[in-house]
Amino acid sequence: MNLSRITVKPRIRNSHESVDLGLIMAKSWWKPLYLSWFIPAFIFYCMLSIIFYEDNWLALLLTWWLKPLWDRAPLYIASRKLFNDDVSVKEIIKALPKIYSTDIFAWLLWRRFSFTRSFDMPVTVLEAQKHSQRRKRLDTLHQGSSNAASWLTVVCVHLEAIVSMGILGLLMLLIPEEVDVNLMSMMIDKTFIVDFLTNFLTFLSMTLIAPFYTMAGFSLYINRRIKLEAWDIEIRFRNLADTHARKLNFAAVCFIFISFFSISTFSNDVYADDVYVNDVNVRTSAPLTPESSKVMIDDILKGEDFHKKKKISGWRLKDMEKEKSDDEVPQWLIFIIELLESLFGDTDDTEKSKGYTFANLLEMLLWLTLAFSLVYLVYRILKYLDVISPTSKNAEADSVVAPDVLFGLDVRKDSIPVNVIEQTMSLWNKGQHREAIGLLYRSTLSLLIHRFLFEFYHGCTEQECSDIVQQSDNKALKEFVVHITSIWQQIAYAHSIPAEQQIKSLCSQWSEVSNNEK
Amino acid sequence: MNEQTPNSELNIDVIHASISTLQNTINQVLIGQEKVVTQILIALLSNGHVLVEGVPGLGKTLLIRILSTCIDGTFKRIQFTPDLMPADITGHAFFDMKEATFRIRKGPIFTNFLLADEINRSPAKTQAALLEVMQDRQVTLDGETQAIPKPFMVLATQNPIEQEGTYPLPEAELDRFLMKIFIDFPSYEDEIKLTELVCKNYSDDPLKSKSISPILNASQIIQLQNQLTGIVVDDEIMKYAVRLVRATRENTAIIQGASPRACIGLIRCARAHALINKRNFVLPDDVKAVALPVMRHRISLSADVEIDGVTTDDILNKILETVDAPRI
Repeated sequence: MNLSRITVKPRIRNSHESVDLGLIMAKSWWKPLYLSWFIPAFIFYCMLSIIFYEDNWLALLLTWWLKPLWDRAPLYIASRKLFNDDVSVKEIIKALPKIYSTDIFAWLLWRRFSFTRSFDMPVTVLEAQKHSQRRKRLDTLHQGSSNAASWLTVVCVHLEAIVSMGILGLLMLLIPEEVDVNLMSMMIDKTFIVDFLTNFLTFLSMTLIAPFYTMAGFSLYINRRIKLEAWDIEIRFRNLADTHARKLNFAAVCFIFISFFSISTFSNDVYADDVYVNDVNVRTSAPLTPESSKVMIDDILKGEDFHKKKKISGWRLKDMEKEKSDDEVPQWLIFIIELLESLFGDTDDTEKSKGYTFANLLEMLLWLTLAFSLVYLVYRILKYLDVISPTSKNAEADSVVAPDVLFGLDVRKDSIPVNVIEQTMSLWNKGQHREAIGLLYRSTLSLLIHRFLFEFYHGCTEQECSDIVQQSDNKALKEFVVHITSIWQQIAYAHSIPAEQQIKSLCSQWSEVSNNEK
Repeated sequence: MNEQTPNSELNIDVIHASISTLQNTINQVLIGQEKVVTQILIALLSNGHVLVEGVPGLGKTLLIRILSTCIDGTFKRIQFTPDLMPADITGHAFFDMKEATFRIRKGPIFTNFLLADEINRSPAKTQAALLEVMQDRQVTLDGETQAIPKPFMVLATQNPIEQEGTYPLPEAELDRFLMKIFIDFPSYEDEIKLTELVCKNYSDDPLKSKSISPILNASQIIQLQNQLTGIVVDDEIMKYAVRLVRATRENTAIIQGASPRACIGLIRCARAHALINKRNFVLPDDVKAVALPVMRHRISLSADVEIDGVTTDDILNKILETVDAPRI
């Protein structure tokens, strides 16, 4: 880092000016910054889109989750360009593994939702600070700048949403009126194309905002360093030093030249020692000791220059919120911390220990969340790759809970008598024709639902049930269902009693179908 | 349990044959609208009126003309406009100067088949002229009640797209239509057939290119309408129809459910549907088949549901799926 080569004017700026500077930097170096963000993110997104072909949202979510990684390459490029140092593609590619791997887990897990990500990232990527050093460094850097960095994140999140909705709205406006598209239902019942399109637009809006976000955060970081390390002063001194050095060089040349002539032309002796002595006498009458210096300093401090008093009157805002909140620690927080202390057995009642206990709990929660997310991710991947045992589908089918009541009929297995044919014939012989065929029809429905796993909805008529059964490959079953449906419709709705022979034929078909396996 | 048994006097084969001939003849001229033709015949057999919704040029006028030709009845057409007056529809009394008496001039309503074209173009005052005639089949002119020829059927049309300058039909009038039918564009193949039929003949009128002779006369139609009562309807079917109608009143997406007239309409239409399908008894499937055209104009959806783009047919289909079909 050569401060004298810095490409921006090193002065202390307020937060807004810093963010402005970041945006200007993003605009100036747009192409390398954008491409370094977009290319790896796009490749990753495409790969995931292929893997999670049906649930494209997962590809978008994971790409979004890895944003702390994608932000790093633009940051690296900007840090080089800031000091007028051109960076080649080869160099970037070479540096990428190191850039991406630094503190990767922390950034993708508990720091993923950090509001000050853009501001903190340079500490990881450029300073390579880790653990306690990083924490100390951030404590110093955050003073007075973290608020702006947090708001920057909030604003950029909203901008992303607005841009993606804007692009979507624009596309919708471009659909001609003649094309009959129900946009509302398209958005509600997302088809694959709509789903894919909205996800891709969201991804595009992410890529558009990200370089600006990264640069604005970087600019805030640089501004803070200018303030802390007095880069502006240092650079001014360096400039002064350069100017003096040039003057001295010139003076030295002049001196040699003049000396050369003066030695030969003039013979005046110069008593340098006397001059020196005189000069010293003027400055100090006695040798300086620490004690005498202290006395002198005290004298100077007592002087009039240090005791001038001015009365200035004006208006300023009172910090009402701060006054109020200073003495108010919420009771529930105290309770939780005390509870945690008792749980973790830490008896040291200091603020520091409270903080650590709370942090421990948070860490534990985060690890649990991570573990859960990983398990879920593995499950989803296995499901997509269809690695889950092939029998699972059958198991799933078997596990479908068959309804107890359908069409207002009791279709439970238990409600069907064991000897259906005997009971049917018995009812038929007693002259209860409708009841007899009704029993056989209800038994058929129960058989279709429980044995053959047909799914009927509540509004299905007999004919619709029969039509559903016609889609199966079981020829005997299809014929039987058509037959019994027809006879049932005749007796139930036409009130015409079928011949006994037909009932006997039905019973024999029932035996055949019910004894056959699926 | 309903003890009604199939009417032995009802010769289902003969009736079905004549209806089938009528259906086929209309389908030969009006190509690609088989479903609409069936629904119109259901309405005709049920002695009801039909509201047809569809864009212009789909053969609505042609349909009613063929119907009147096949049935040997009279056909009149009224183009509803904003300045149409009730007397232009029903007729009016005027003073005959020569004979110094009041005379009645009957309006176009006195016909067997009336095409009320673009009915929603006229204000409610004019639309209300149809209320009496549609319900009671009579017209009151100058204090005297005039009977309408039988059979009488109003086939009203409205355009679903162009809503500017239209007057939505009041609920009381909508309820008087037995069915609301959607007429849609024919399929690609049917449209080719239709274009060929018109273009290969010298006349632009498909009706003129086919020599159609009357298949049924007015009295036969009335007879068929009367025979419809002989179609067996089980109690469970009645209950099913009532359950369906009542479900429209309990659905949160519907602010106004169907009236009891819908129950009656469902059963009448289901009977006609059964007859067309050569059955002398009604199945739940018959009720289902006519449920949408019978109920879709009798319900009003809530504003939020309409904003979401949900149609009355969507809601009715859900109701049909969830209401238990009759069993045992």
